[in-house]
Amino acid sequence: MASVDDREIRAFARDLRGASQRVVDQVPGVIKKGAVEVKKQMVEEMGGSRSFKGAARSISFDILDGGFTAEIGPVSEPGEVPGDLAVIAYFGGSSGGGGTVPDPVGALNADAPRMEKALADILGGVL
Amino acid sequence: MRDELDALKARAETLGREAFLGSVPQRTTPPAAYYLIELANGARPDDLPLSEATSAWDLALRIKSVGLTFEQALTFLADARDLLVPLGRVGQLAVAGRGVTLLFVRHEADYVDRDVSPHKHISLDTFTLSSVPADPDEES
Repeated sequence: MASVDDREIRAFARDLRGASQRVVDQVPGVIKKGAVEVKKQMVEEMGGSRSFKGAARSISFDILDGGFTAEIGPVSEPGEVPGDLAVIAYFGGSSGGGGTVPDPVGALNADAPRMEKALADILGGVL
Repeated sequence: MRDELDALKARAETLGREAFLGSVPQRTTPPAAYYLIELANGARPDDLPLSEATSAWDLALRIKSVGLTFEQALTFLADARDLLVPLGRVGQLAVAGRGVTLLFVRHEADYVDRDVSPHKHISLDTFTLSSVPADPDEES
């Protein structure tokens, strides 16, 4: 799957892991909600491409690390042609160019403020 | 900006594989394995503005390792990473009058281009290229 630069959010979520159980229990819900929102925007952007709309169905997410990490992007396994097509839509082909669908980092950046606020609210609720 | 990209291309080519800036030229039959250095914003390197000697800038770029197998693409990208950012994350490029730093950002993707025959395997890293005017005292 493609990855995006979410280091600050991940670091924040990691910090929360050391907090009380009440906080820890609420973080996976925020991460999952964020993954759903990011995936939704990525699917919309891919679906809006005349050339690559067929690859939108390859975009998925996995929740990892006990709910503290979400990996979002096109699934690209052997034989998964739509997944490879989606990555070409983002990053272009072997001859250069061709990346015409917005970089997934844009979808993450769009949702980051909401996620940060949700995580901060969890902390605020127990302080 | 062009000088820095040319320096990056030349450095990558010391690995014994061809490197292309932006795209493989049309009507060129590319070798079995090669590097593509692309700007992350999709612009063509030829369209970059000429920067003034006093300006400092950052540029997000991607290095694609293209090969006939995944193993080839992955191995050759690892070679490029070892050469270009030997400290694990940061490396320097020699460009006259400039201090040029290459910062590894992340490994982005591994995938197959099925629009070409034979199919090409691609492994892709993202970097940030930073260039500042060199300190005249350090230059001399």
